[in-house]
Amino acid sequence: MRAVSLSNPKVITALNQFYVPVYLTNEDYRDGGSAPAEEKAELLRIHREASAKSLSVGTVHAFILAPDGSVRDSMHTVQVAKPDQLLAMLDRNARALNVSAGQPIIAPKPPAIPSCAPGEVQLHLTSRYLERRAGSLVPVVSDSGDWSSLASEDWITLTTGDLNLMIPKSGLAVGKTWQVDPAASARLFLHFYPPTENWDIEKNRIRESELTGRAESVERGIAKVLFSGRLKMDHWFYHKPDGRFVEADVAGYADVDVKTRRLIRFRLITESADYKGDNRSMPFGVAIRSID
Amino acid sequence: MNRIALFALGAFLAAETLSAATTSATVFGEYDRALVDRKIMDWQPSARERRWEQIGWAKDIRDAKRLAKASGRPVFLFTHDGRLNVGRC
Repeated sequence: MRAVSLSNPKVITALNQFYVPVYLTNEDYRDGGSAPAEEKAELLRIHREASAKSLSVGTVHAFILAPDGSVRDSMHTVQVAKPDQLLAMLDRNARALNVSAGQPIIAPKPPAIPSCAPGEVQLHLTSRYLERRAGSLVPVVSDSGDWSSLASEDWITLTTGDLNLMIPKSGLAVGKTWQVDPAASARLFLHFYPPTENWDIEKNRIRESELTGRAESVERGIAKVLFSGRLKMDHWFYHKPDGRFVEADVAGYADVDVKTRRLIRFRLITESADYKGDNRSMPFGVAIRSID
Repeated sequence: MNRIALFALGAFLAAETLSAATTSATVFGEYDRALVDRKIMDWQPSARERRWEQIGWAKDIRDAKRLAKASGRPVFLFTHDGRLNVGRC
């Protein structure tokens, strides 16, 4: 959806000129989800009204509400993911309601960077499928709308507890080598999977992993550290067991304040990574950078 | 250059110039950093992949309904599993 219809210039223009667009995550609206009760009640009201009007209803779905909030139209995601079909729904409802084209009601802006507490480190992760071209592995570029055409991102907040497990307490003299505590490396490695329908890291199982740090130099109180490691982790493509797994070698670096052990800069990538299973092996890449 | 070659280079430099370990290691480290930085840059979401951010999204259903009522525009509501904003969906 995001890689196809919501990236289609005509759809973007129609939504901005004629609509008030909004999206929501079902997990937030289920029992125990983070959405306020009034929001959950409103989604339930939309589902019930659409059903009463014999419109299609589903969890992965698009709905058109009139300016008074009444449900006018709906469409299953399979159709929504086809730009022509989505455009037709947007067009017929805007015409029926006699809506004039205008500026976006809400100014478009990229999603905000999550905040973190003092002493914590915010990391940004990108994961994407790669393909071999001219002898090199490069990002897949595709209009297919399948998982290969989407770059996934995660935000990971390293707490002071995580950082204490990553950087040795015994000092960072040149040549110092150490194994990062598995609890800390798992905070990163659990996110090392390619774009799939399963995005729940609780379902990932690390089978083998190691992350080694080595202080390469110390200048003006800042240690330059290299990291290298490897990972083998079960990761299902959908939300049920399928025997698929990730194998990766990783490498990266960090700048660390020797006195405070504060992580000033952190970078970690997959040198090689494959998503395996069903007699297939799909290369992908993961890149982590600290928000400096 | 892969990691094995990089570590081999590091070991060679350390053995050759033990007394100047800091200088040698810094050269090794700087090279490795450039490689990591280039991959990170290459793998970031492209402008094409960020097109959906050109849509002005309301905060939630109630916010969208309030804005719809005030503007006379309809609401387009998309409900999904996962996190659309990070492409984990």
